[in-house]
Amino acid sequence: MTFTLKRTTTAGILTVMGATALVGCGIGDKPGEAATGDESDGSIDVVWKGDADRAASIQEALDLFNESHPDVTITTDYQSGSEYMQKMSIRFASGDAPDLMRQERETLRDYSDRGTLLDLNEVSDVLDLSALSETVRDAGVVDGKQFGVPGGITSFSYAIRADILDEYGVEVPDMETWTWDDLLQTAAEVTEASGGEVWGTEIPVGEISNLGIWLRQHGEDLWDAEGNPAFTAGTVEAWFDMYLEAVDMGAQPAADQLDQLGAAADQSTLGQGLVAINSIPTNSFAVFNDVSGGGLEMGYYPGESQAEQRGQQVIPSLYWSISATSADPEASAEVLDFLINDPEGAAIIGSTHGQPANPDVSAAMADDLTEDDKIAFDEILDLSELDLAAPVPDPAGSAALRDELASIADQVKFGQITSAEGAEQFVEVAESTLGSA
Amino acid sequence: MATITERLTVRKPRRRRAVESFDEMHVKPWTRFARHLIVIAIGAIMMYPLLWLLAASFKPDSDIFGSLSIWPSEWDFSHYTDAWTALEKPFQVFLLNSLLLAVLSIVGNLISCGMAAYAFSRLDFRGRKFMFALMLSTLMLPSQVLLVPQYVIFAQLGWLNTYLPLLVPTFLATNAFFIFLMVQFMRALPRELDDAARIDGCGSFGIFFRIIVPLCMPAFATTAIFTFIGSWNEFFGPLLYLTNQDLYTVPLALKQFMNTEGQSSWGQIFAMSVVSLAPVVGFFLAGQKYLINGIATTGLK
Amino acid sequence: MTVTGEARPRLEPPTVLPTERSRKRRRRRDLAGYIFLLPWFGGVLLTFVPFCISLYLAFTDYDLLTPPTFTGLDNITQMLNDTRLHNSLVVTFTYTFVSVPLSLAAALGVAVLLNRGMRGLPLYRSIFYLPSLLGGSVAIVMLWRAIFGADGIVNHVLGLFGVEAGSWIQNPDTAMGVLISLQVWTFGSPMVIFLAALRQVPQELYEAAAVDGARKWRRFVSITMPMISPVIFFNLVLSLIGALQTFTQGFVMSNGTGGPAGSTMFYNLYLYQQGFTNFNMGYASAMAWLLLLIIAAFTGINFFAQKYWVHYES
Repeated sequence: MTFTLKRTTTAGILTVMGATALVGCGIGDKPGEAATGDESDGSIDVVWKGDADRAASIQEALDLFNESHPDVTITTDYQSGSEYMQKMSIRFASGDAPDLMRQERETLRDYSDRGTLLDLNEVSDVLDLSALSETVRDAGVVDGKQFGVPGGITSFSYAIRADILDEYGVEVPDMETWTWDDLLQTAAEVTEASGGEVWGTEIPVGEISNLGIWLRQHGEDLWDAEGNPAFTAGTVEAWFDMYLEAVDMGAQPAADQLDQLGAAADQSTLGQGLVAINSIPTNSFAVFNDVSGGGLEMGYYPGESQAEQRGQQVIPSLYWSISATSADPEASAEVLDFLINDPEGAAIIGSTHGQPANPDVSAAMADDLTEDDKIAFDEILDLSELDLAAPVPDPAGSAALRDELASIADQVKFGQITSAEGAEQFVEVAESTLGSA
Repeated sequence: MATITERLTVRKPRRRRAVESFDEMHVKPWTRFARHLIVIAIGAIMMYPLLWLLAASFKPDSDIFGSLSIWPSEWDFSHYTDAWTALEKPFQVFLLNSLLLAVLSIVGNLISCGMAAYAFSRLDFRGRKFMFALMLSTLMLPSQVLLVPQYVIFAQLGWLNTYLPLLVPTFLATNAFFIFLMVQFMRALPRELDDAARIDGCGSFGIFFRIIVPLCMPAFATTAIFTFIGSWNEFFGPLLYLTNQDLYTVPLALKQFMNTEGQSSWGQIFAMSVVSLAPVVGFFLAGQKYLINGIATTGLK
Repeated sequence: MTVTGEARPRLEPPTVLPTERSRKRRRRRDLAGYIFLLPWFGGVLLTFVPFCISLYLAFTDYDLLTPPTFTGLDNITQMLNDTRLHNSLVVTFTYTFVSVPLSLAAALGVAVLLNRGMRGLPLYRSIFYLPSLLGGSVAIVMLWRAIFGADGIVNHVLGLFGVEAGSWIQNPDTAMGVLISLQVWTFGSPMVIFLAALRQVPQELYEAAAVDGARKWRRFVSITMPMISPVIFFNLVLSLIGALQTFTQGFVMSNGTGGPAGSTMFYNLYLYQQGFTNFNMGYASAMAWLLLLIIAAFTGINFFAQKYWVHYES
């Protein structure tokens, strides 16, 4: 047979079509269809996001689980940073989803809306969530189905470097009642008193959780329970305007004057003493205080007490979820139950995931906590008792919104667009990304 | 630079002398000095970031961003020792894994790309032009295009969590860059050599092994070096396919240091960066001698 | 080794008819080629099948978690209206058409400089080459962030001259410049190839030209450039292709955001975001194909233009 171009091409196309069909079936093998799902090889695959330290604690906790459940084999994997979710999506795509996994606030619905997560109510005989408060439990509920269990709870709080304020003779405001004006005022004083060495504050203008707090204080929110945008351009504009005002007053550095090297405490501007007042994740208080040399004070957000509605929320720091195609959902649920409810296991994991969602477990841990961790725990407890809006899982598509806000905020910061234009753009993006879910 | 030398050499009488390079004849000491100076200056600027990195790995964390100097005022070796054992496995595990992958990749590339390049540059067969164009077109393929489908294929083959998805492509001449490099090289070799060998009774295979391969050593050396670097620095592929920490390579391990949540120490990051970059540097320094010799013997004079 | 080229290889016995003989010869000749290409054929399968699948995906809506649904030309219409995509093209083109000429010029310039037979050549060559070994690595991009940061080396140096500057990487106007500088820093890779090529230029040509009275610059333009033009071509084509596909540098420098204000949002970074963060794998596949077409177009132009300036020694 001669290899004419025509014949080669035909043969090639046929081969390709055949192979494509084969592989296409591979892609098509999706959770909903295959009742058998992954073949059970007797092991549970548990994955999470974090660094080596966290991995060591979780591994230890899992080993403890194995002592009482020797028949369950557990394989693990972890990544830190964004690779985690990226690898997750690829694993799902190829039918190799993990059994028990950490889901982020931002991605839970991306997965659950597409039917890839198990409704944990189905394994409620093994997984006991009764100890959790209703608000916390419902944080993982979408349309009446429990797709995730909060693995820890936290919030965002404002923190003041009291040591720096004392150094420059600036009065530390009362964090229970202060307003946004108080914040800007104090911050401007700090900048002036320190001769520019230390900036007063940094408004996290491009950070969506903070915008959320602002919106709620004004009676709006980022999204409602159905996942539709629930805010107006005017409020967003006011948020941008406050940032610009802060820069004008000297309360905060201009856009390119300080670097954010990383989110970690020792790389943060607050930790390095470049900025005196900033927002931090509540459960990270210990780490930040440590880096700040012990001079940190934590409290409510500005404007909370005067607002129509308090803006802060107690939110899950992560969710644990089980894949809908898990070969052994019961065993996975057993592991999950252990992670949530077992006091010893929780003690090993410690506060790396925030405060344990189960209040009994967290109370049992209270005595072994360090001073600083205790402060964080108490703050969260305090917040839990206030009348705060209940958190709703971020709607599908919110990740794009998050990025957009950061980008729009950058443009406002550098004067490329006005705050009104920025607000308009943000509304547009919200409508197109959130509505589509 | 050319204008300086030009101006200065314009009146020199031209005489043939045995010198290293033709241009050497016309150079005044002044020019040579200037040239050296420029090269040294550029070299210094190029090297500064790396030297700073090296120095920073020995500085205590607080000093790192404080000073410009490439000589630490305070020597702190703890970054190395701490970071070496900071991850689940000691760092040498990752170094050895990366080395294994790199060596095997080199073998794969040399064999498969060499064979393919020979076919494209020296042999004639039906569909050659078409296939050559096809091969070149894969150069332009953004890797993202193949990402998910390839992953699915490897998953169906059961090759996940092994080195196979990373190595098998190197044995299948998938790297058009090296094929292209070798093709260009082989094209430059005169065909008379082939004809002479054919007269002596060599078939295509003989020509390949006896004539082409020895003459292409510089291209092979270059391929080996580039393969090593590429394999050593590869991040995305290992990230996707390796789940078992025992199998992790250096870049993956390094990324574990730079996490966004806990406390990441720049000193440790820099220290492990130095450790991960050192073998690359070493390999190059060792290999470059080969490069020089190879190039020197290529001349068909 | 002198060659006369007279003797004709005798491959077939004389009893076979001419047409049969040539077909057999051709088949045997073809066979040799195909055997050597066997590994490559395997590679093609490994590359081509996913290639075609991704083409299919480009016309679908695929979120990785559920099967793809065919949506026809929707992705294409979306691409035409997507300002962020247009922005990423601008970013990528700017980067490519600034950094590639700069780094190739630097590579050639330094190679010429080094080729004049300097003492310590191997040392200098290593020094210049080293950065290119490391340039694409995560570690070095982080290092660059540290260097150009608000409190970095560059600003320290500027401070010595009394110049105050903000963070180069936080400023949308300069962030791209930082990445370009990183790319130019890695000029060592093409430089080594240029060096090798320069060495292969026969000395007699220079000597002859000098005898004819040609000056340094003239010799460079008329002898050196044409003689190494295949290598320039090679470096140019590959650098362009590589630069258009930049990802890691943008990703690490901006922490995956493409910021500030989208100034480092490379095409591949946006593609990655769409595919992996926004679950728009179908759209991302379409984007990948668009990139492929763009790269093909540029490469095609290069290959077409090569007959105007590339000189092959046949």
